Amino acid sequence: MNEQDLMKKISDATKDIPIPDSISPENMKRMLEEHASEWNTFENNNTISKDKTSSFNKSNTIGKRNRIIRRFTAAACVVLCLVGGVTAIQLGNNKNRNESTYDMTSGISNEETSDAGAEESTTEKTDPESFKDELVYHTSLQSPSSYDAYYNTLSTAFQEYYNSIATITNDDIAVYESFETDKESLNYKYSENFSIEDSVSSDTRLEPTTNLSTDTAESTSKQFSSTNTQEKNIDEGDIIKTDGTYIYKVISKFNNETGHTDQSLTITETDNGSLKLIATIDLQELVKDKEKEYLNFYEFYLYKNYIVLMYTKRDYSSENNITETNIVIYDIKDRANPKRKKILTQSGYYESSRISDGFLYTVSNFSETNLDTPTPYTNYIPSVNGKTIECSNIYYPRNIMMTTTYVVTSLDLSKPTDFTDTKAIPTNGGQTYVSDSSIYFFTTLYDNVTKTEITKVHYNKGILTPGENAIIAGYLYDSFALNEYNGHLRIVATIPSNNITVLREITPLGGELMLEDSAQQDVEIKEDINVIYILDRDMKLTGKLSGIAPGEQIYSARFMGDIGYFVTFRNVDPLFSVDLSDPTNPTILGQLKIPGFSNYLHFYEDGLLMGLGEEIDEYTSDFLGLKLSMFDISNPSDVKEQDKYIIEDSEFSEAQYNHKSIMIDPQKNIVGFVYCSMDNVTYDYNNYYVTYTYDKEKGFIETAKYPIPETSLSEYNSIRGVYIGDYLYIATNTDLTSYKIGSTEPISKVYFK
Amino acid sequence: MNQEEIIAHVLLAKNGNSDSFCKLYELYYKDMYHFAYYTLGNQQDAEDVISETVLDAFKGIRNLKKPEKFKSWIFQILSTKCKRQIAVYISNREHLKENNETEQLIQDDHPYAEHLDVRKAFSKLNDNEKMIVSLMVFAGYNSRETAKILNSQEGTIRSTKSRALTKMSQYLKEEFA
Repeated sequence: MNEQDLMKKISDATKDIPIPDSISPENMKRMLEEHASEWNTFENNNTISKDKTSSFNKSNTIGKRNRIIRRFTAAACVVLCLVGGVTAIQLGNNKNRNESTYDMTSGISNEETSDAGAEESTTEKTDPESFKDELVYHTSLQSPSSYDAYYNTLSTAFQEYYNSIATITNDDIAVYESFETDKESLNYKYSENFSIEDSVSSDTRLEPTTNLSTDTAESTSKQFSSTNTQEKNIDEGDIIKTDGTYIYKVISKFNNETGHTDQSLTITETDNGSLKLIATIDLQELVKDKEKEYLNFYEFYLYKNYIVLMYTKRDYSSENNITETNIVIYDIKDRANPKRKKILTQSGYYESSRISDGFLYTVSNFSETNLDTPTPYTNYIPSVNGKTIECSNIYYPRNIMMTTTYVVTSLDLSKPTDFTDTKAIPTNGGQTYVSDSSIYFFTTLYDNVTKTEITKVHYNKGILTPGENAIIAGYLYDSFALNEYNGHLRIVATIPSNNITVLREITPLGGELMLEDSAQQDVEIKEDINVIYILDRDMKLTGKLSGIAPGEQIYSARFMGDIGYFVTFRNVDPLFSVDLSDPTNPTILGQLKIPGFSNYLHFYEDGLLMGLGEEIDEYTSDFLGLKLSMFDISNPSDVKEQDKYIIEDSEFSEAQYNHKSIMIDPQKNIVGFVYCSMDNVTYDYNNYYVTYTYDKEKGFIETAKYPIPETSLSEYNSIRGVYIGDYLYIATNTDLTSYKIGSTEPISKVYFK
Repeated sequence: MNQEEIIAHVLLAKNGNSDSFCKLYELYYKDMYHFAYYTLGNQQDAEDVISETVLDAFKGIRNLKKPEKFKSWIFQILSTKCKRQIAVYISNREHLKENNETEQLIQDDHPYAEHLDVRKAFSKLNDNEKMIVSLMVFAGYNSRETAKILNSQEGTIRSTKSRALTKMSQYLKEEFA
């Protein structure tokens, strides 16, 4: 059955699904009329009452709309007025609004509110205003004086949000949120992010390696792979880790009887290919009450003699459905008998974490805000370890919206008894990038133009210092689009074509790379463009380069010191190299055009950059297979493709979008990942784990290809490889198999229950 | 309704005419419902997101700059809302429960064997895959447009779609075997 047939089948199969009467056009018309009167009431309340709290409560008495408002509360990051000025102008739409009230509670300055134009001003008008001179905006964070004051601020923001809903919907509404965010959150049924790990010392015989690519362990006889992280020395959690002797993996199995996914953490001892399962921790033991709690495990760390496991616990026994992120620490000094040592909690579901310099930094997303009443405070202020976060640790942006509150904690892993520091930041978040001194949250916001809001939290030995907020035009393809170096944040972003007319700052630089003529600035540009931004420590713009690669989008990026590399794509793949040494003046050094594109870039060894992506026919745009490329970057202004290897039977690979699924160690000269292929005759779908080495003369060489048994098919994103010494270990949700590297003959195998 | 009529109704709706708005809605609401139902796997939530979409769309239609784009515009609002709803599911056990109920529901309501199988196969996809396949089937977007809506890359969309459809045909093959 080909794709077209199947798509038609899906369409046919749905035709006889009954459409509920509640959404019939007649009923919708009735609903619209009903709401029209409520909207009026709401606006009236807004003017009549100067007391925000009481007007807010009054509006809540309208039962049906209240439910919808709550939905919006959850959905609030949909857009909105990102910049104070925009907020004010949009609110100018609301002819009944009371200026002085806004000023008091939202912190929007008079100057901006008085600028608020006539009734008919729209976002269309405001956007060019806000981005007239800069593609970057930044705002500062502030702390509330008391919980009650904070309540008022939130309530006001909530009303502003509601009032501005009318301006949310426009041509471009949907592109507001980064796809990668969703990917992370949507795959919750599968354990995501699997791979291989580092930063483990302990009683094993080996020195801990810091990271694969910088692994300088002398015991070359027994090197082992570690999690493929974005930044050196900053560990990322995963579902598989090894310390050179033991392999740790989280196993997920769907339980048909309960409808839940049962998860366990396994510890397998390895000895030159032989395997022995020595411990299985049933993670269900963390569930206190099966009827009332539900746990989702995400990833874990190995740190000295600890396993640090991150999960979200949802308690739906109480009315408020409390969701919290839990951090459980197991002591594994005795590998066969792991002991639970400590559980720490923070409000909200698990977003992301890193280990840097012995501290665990954890980000959770508290979104169950309920503003019906000013108390209890826990309805809108997150807690850590059961304690409500103090006002002095809450930092909100001037343009606060009813979105989610990010809770950031730090934990000293040398004495993991309580958090070292905690901050709550009500802002838009989504994805996280962590440099060696700062945590950045970023999310795409959708207004009339696509913007990305970036919030910075500086860290040093566990002490967290929220910094500034910046809003840039365009969206980021994922966390690799960001990089901090010498205090400067470098960003590559794509600005969608439908935004460009409102952005006046398209730098005309001439030549093939850039938009050719300044006269074009007023002409509607039909194509996407790409921009490089450099921000300083205070998140203020120091330099930028815009108008890069019109019509293309950024597919991958990697930074090495003063030089940045990124790939854009339409029919061919220009690999750009950029000189970033002058933060005020980034300049393109060169570009290499080849067919296809790379989704992932990795510095392989001196002067070599590896790309993993897809080969696309330059003329027909047909997909020809996954591709490995090796670029010679010894001269960044003259990058050459040294070798290209096309995996012909391949369809796609998790490696294209999850860097942690790649096993890569240039020192060991090994690259491994899983890909999927489809049989052209039978349409059978098969997974293969494949390993490569790179030879300067011969190029990429496939060293082994391992078919992954069909039972693992449904867990295509749970397959990972690690190597220890001369042996390769491939883990799925059902088993772990060992091989001599380069051989496909299995040596030993353990099955997970 | 031809393109000119659609544009005329959009212009009327922009002036607050709910009759015109509902005429436009009538053109697409079945596809919208199928999209929401399949993406969310739950009837009640599908109805809710559609109501919310209608409310938002009606309030926001005055900002719709290209009347001829009404369909993709309203689908974009809907898919945004579905994405949000899915995010709410994430740590929510109810989703799993409801998913199972949905399967049950499908079985009870629909004796057509093959359609049933296709739907069951669809239910095996993860939420992300459902969203992408739904956008392409019900809203008729191509991979490039889908990539735009989801703010993803065409290649990723294509491979996700391909993976999703492969998963489905795999499942169908097993079922029929």
